[in-house]
Amino acid sequence: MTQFLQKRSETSRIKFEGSGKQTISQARARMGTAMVLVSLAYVIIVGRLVVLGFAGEETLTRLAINDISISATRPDIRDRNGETLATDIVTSSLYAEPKRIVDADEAVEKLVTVLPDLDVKAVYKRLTSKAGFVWLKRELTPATENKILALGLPGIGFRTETRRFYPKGETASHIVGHVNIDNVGIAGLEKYIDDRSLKELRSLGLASDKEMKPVYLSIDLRVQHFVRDELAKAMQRYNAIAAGAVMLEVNTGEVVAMASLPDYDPNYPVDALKKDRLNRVSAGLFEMGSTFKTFTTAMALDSGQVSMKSRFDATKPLRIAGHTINDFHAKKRVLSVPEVFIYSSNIGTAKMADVVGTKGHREFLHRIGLLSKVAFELPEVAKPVEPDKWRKINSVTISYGHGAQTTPLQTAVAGAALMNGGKLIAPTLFPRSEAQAKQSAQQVISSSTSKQMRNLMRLNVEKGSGRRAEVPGFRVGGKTGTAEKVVNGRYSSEKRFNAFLAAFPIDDPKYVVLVFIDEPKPEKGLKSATAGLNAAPVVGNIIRRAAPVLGVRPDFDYKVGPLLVSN
Amino acid sequence: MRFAPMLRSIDVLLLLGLIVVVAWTFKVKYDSQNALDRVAELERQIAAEKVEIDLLKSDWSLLTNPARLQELAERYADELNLQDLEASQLANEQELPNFRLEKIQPPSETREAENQADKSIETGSIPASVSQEEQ
Repeated sequence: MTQFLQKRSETSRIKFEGSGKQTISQARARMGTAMVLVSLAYVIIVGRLVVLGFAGEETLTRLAINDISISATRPDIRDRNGETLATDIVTSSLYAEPKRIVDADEAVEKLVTVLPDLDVKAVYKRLTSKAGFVWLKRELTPATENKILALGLPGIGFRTETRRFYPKGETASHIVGHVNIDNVGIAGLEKYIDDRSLKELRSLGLASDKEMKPVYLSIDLRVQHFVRDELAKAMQRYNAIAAGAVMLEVNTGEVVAMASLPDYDPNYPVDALKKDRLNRVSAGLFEMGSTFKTFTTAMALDSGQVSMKSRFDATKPLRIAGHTINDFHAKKRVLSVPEVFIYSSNIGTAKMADVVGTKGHREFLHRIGLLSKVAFELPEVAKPVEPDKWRKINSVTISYGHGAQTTPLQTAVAGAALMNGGKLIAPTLFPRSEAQAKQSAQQVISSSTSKQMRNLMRLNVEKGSGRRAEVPGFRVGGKTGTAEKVVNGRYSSEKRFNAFLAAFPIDDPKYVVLVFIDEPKPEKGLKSATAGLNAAPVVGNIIRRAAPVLGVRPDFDYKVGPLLVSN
Repeated sequence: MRFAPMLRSIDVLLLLGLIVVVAWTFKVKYDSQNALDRVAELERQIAAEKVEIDLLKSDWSLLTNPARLQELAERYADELNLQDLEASQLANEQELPNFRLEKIQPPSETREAENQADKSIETGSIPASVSQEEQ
C-alpha cells in the first residue's frame, strides 16, 4: 500500500501510468471515504440509542407528557390546621346528540336506573327533539359517570369541567371570597391569590407546569365557626341589622377568625353583591364609640402627664363650642383614671385628651394606625375618615369615639398593640411567626403603659360595664362601646352601634377579640340595648368556646380589682 | 477486478450488520412506544384517581364542617347526654391528683390466665370436638 501511495505521489507530477489505472485508484479512495462516513453515521445512531436506553424514566415521561396543556386549576385554600376551605373539583356533565340516539325509550329507561331523580318526560322530549346537542344532567360524580358509560348507550357523552367548591359554605365566606364563572377570583383571598400569582406568572414569562401548592391561612376554622355561630345567634336575639367580629393573635398579628353577618354562600355567590353583604370588619366604617376611650386613656398614660392616680372632675357637664358633653352613667364627682375607664365617663376622657392636646391626639391616633388605611391582604379595605382640620371640639368628641370613622379590624389591631406590650403589628391572613412579626413591628406605646391598660381592661370586666363578658378561668379584659349612629345628620338615641374590645388571658394576652352589633334592639324583658348587655355577652360566649380549643389554660384566682381600686 | 472478493465479503458483512441494526432499532422503537403507551395509560389512571381522591376529600371536608357537626351534636345532645365543656374541667397532668397506678399484667400472662380460665369454665354449649365432627 505504502509503496503504491509513494509511487502515486511520485507519479502525480510525472504522468507515466495510463488513465485506466488512475481511475481505479481514485474510485478506491472515494469508496474508502464513503465507507468511513457511513460507518460513522451508524456509530452515531447506535450511540444515541444507547444514550436513550440509559436515560432516566423522568426524561421519558417528560417526553411523553410534554404536550399536555395546563388545565385552569386554582390552589386549594386551607386553614391553619389543614382544613379545606376552597378546592377544585372535577365534575362531568351528561349530554346527548339526539340524532345519534337509536332508541329514546330504551335510553331513558336505562338512564333512570342510574339517575333515579331524572325528569323522565323532559328527558324523553329532549332526546326525540331535532336539536344537535342537548344537556341532560350537569355536575355528576366520576362514579355515576362510570355507571352511565357501562350502560353502553349510543349518542350520549360527557364533558368534564373544573368547578370551585367551598365545603364550609358561609363559615369563612368573606375571608375566602369567591370566583366568577370563569374560575377567576373576584373577591376575598381568591382575588388576592389571582392578583399575586398573575404577577408571578408575568415575571416568569409563562405559566409553570408545577402542581399548585395549597395556600394555608392563619384562620382557625373551629374558632371561625364559633365566632360566626355566636354572631348569628346575637343577630337573632337582638334583632340587629348586622354583626361582626375579628379575633387576632396579639403577638403575630395573625387573624384567627373574622366574620361579618349577613354573609353569603360562596358556592352560590349571587347574594354577594347585595349592599348589606359587605365585609363590615375590614370594609365597614363606623364611629367606634366608647371603645375609643381605651386609646385615649392609653395615650394620656403614655404621655407621662397622666398617671393612674390622676383625678378628673366629672361633677358638671363639659361645655365646649356650644356643645354640652354629658356622661351616660353620670357619677357627678371627681373620678380617678380607673374610675373614668370603668364608668366610661365622657367628661373624664375628654379632659384626659385635653391634657395631651389636639395635635398630640391626632398624631397618636395616626401612630397607632387607627386613622390611616390598614395594610391587609383582602381587597375589601376601607380608608378611615377624620376631620380635615382638627379643632378642640373634634379632639373632645373623638376622645370618646365620635367624629372619626374607622374599621373594626383596625380597632382590633390597635387594641392588640395596647395589649402586647405596645407593638403595632399589621394584621395578616397568612401564618406568621412571632420573630417575623417583630421585624416589622413598631413600638407605639411603652410596655409599662401596656401593662396599665391590661389592668384597666381587666378591672372593667371585674367591676365595670364589661361584667357580662367574664368567663370564669379565662381572665377576660375589655371595654364596651355604645355609639349613637348618625341619622339624617343628627345623632340618634334609637339607632346604635355597639362594640366590645376584649383581650384574654389578660395577665399575658394571647388574643384580642372585637365584636360589634349594628342597630341592636333591646332583648325581651329589657329596656335598653347597650354594648354591655349585648356585645359583651357575645364576646364571653366566643371566648368560652374558643379558649379551650386555642389551648389557653384556665386560672381561677387572677384578680386585679384589689390592686387598683381601694373603695 | 482484483478487489472484488474483498469488497464482496465487506458488503455481506455490512449488509448483515445493517439488518441486525435495523432489527434492533425497530425493536427498541417498538419497546419504547409500548413503554410510552403504558406511561400514558398510567398517567391517565393516576389523573382519574386524583380526581376521585379530590372528590372524596371534598366530601370529607363537607361532612366535617363544624356547622354540621354542631347541628348533629345539638340534635343528639339528649340521647347521648352531651354537655358543654366548662373551663373548670380543663387541667394538665401536673394538676391532677396523684393516682396510685395498679400493676397491669403483661399481655402474655394475661392470655395464659384467660386460657386456663376458659378450660375450667363449664358451659352448656356443645364441646368443640363434637361440633367439628358434625361438620
